[in-house]
Amino acid sequence: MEKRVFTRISAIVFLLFSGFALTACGGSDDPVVPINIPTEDDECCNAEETFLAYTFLHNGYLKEIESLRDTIDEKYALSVYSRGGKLHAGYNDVFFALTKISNQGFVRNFSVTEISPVMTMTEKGMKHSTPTATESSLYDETFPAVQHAWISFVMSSSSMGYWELGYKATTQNKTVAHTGSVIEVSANATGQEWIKSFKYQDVNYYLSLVNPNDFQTGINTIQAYVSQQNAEKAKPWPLADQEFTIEIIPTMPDMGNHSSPDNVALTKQPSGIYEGKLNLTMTGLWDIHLVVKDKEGNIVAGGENNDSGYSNIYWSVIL
Amino acid sequence: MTAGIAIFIGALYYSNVLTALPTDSIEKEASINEVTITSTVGSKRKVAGKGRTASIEEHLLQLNNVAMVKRGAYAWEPVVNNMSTERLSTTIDGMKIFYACTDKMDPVTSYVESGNLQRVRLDSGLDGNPQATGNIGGSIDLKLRKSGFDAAPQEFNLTTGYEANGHLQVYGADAAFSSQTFYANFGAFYRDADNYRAGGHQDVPFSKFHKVNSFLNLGFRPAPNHIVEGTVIFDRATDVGYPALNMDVSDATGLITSLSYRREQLAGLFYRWETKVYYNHITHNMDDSTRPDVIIHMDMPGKSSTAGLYSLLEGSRGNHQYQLNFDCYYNTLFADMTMYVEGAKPMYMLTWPDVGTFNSGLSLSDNIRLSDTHSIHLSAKGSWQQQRINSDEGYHALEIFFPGVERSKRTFMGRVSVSYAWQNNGWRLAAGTGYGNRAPSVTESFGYFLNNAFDRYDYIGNPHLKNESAVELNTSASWQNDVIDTRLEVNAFLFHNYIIGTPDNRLSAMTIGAPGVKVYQNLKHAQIVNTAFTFSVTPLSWLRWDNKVSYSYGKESTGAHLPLIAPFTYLTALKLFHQNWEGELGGELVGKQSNYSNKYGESLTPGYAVWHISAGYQFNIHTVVANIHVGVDNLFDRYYSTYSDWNHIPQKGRNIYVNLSVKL
Repeated sequence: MEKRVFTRISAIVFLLFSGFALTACGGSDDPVVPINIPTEDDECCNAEETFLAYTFLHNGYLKEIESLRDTIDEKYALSVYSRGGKLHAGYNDVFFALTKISNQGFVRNFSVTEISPVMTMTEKGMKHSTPTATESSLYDETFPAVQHAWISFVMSSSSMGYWELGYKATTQNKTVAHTGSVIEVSANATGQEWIKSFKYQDVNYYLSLVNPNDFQTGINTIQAYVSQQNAEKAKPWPLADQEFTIEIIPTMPDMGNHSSPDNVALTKQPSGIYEGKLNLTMTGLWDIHLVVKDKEGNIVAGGENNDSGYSNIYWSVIL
Repeated sequence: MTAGIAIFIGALYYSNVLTALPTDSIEKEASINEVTITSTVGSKRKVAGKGRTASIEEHLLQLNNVAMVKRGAYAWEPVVNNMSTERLSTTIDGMKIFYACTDKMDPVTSYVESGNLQRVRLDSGLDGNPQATGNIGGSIDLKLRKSGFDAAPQEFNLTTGYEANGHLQVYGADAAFSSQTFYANFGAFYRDADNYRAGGHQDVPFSKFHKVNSFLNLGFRPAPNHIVEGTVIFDRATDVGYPALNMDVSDATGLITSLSYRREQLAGLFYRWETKVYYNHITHNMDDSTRPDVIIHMDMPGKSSTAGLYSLLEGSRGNHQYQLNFDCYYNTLFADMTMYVEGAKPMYMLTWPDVGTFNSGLSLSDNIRLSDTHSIHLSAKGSWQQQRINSDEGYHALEIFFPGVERSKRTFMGRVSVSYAWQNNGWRLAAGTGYGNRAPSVTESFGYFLNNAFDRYDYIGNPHLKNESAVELNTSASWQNDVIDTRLEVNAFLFHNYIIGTPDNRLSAMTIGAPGVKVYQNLKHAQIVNTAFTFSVTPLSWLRWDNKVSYSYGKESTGAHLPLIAPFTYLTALKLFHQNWEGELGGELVGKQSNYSNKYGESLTPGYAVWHISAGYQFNIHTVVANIHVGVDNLFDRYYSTYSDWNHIPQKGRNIYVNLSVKL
């Protein structure tokens, strides 16, 4: 995903030339929406921050999930965005923006907490959650109006069950608790699998691959989160307490398990995300075989091979 | 031209009886109008059985030191001194042209037709033609057939040929018009062949081809000694089968154009100055849709375009005869591959990452006649080259294997050669030496998972390759009188940083069934030695017996044999001439290729002997000159393949041919 559509400087230039009276276009199918530049307001962003937030949220990739909209104290409106306004199995980026209803300005300081996706299995009559970031964080230092979180759905919505998403949003000591509204979680495109699990010492761990749609032929930075099932299954599943190393071997099942050299295992970064290097020699379907090791180097998952001759735990991605 | 550096000029065309003869004089070489070669040159006449219906490759095979790598019945790859495309320079009238197929299915000689050509100039080794760069093994210049000024006001040629094996049909027609200030010649050729049969009536599937070729040459002389010439060649081959490979070609199309300006009869240091600008474009599409049992269908198109110019000054002063040439060209090569799996997204990669090559060079040569018996020949060229990967996607893919590799590469290449000849009383002794290097080819530097059907490995280019260099040593001794003509020659190439693919066990093959991946590397040393002994005797004015024995040897620094080195070969031919008749009975006896290169994927090629017979007759009816040839190749229908037949595909079995050409 484009992290920033415009740089800070180009944004300023754009603003100068357009005399602060803008009409900006988002994605091709977005209606033309005028940007509302607020008058001086301490809570709200300045013109530049507003512009950057606006262009980011209307960059053509993101769309609002309207069922998740809510208001705080009838003064602020919270919008939730995702890629294409949709959610799918595996890792999803989720963005939040808060606007002041009176002047439509983006609010600078707010937080979203207690993000809790819950699946209700209608037949079994049970509920469970999924790996998720429970709190939002600032997406980008240069525009403080957008908060980011992620949710990695272990399964899609189906006749077997439905997903609901709740959250709590806070600004200026005012809070709204958005109770679960039903959301549609679609399946991955055929042949793709972006979340995998393994059991180790009686704990279920989940490996969520971050945004595999961004992969390209060449050297890619590969990122993932390792989460563990909450003891209370219906509560959000947090990041794992244990630290692992995830070794990767990408192969192409349609090309006789052609592989690539010099892939770098994913290791935990200070931010909590796991990061490594993934080399993809061409487009097409790739299975990223995983061998998970603990700190001492003992294999905790993926030690057994499937028919391909590689680990039986693998993400499947198509680029 | 000294014997040691052996320039052989094959007369391919435009003659009463088609001949190939070595010619010795650069004066002759320099003037296009003078190279109309007639049937009789002393006793040295040589029969080209198939005459003008022979393919370019068949004509090339008549030159010394030339062999062909065959992947099918069409588009053979010339090999000179046991070195193929990467170590040769091939030009068309001095124009650079580069093949567009990552699998070398379209050597540039396949984009012209015998009917386009007057002759072929082959310079062995490092002494190249002025436009040649990177020629370690030799340089081939295909000279186009231009009717020229002040020739016959009009002339028409018709050619037709038929070969029973493979039902090869050849039809050609061309016309030429000439006056004092203007000339034009143009024509078209058509070839069509079905699958051929190997010895023992074995059908060789996927060996058919079709080809059309048309050409136009125009000349204009607005004032005496000011000449403007233009050329257009359009060549298109379709449905070409390659039995040695896993894929065929749906179409290979070449467009070759040039415009030149020439000054003749200049006073001063130089008597001639020619400047030519040119452009050529090749598109090549591989096709596996007719092959059975294909696991994954692939599209593999390639494109090559080259624009360039050269400016050649020729002069003589005293006992010096010299040439000075500047040339530059820009070439782009692009090839990609899309693989289709049912029900899944196609897989895509760039196999040549849109590589742009700019090359600019300056060459000099001088023939010095010290006396009637002593002569020296010198030639040198230096060129500067820059290459850049123009495709982001291709660059990023290559980065996986060469992290941090630069997108651009610059290099300087050069060659120098000197030779000395002494001749007296029928004897001629010559010795020469040279040093030169070449830049790696685009495949060797930037190729990406190119499967080689020969050793079945996938090949990845190596952008960090150093230039390959070689020292050449050659010597020859010959003696002739009215009856006997004999010659012994030896040349040796001592390579440094020899470029060849070596397996990298870390890497995983892409092509299903490939044993692994090879990456091009510089080997410290390699040597190729070629020896040939020829003996011709003309006991009677109507009879000649030609014999040639050759042997080559190639080794690299680890002690392994180099691949594609010719085994012991003996060629013999009995030739008869009587009035307008000519006849030939000949054989090719080849030993077992015992020094085959196991390391580079070769397996043993057994020896074989094949025989041929042909006869020709020329008759004149008023002003019409007609030639008819009939012959049989592989007389005893032997099943065989040569050391240079890709994957040991069998050669044609018995083949009866007949052809007729008429000049009006």
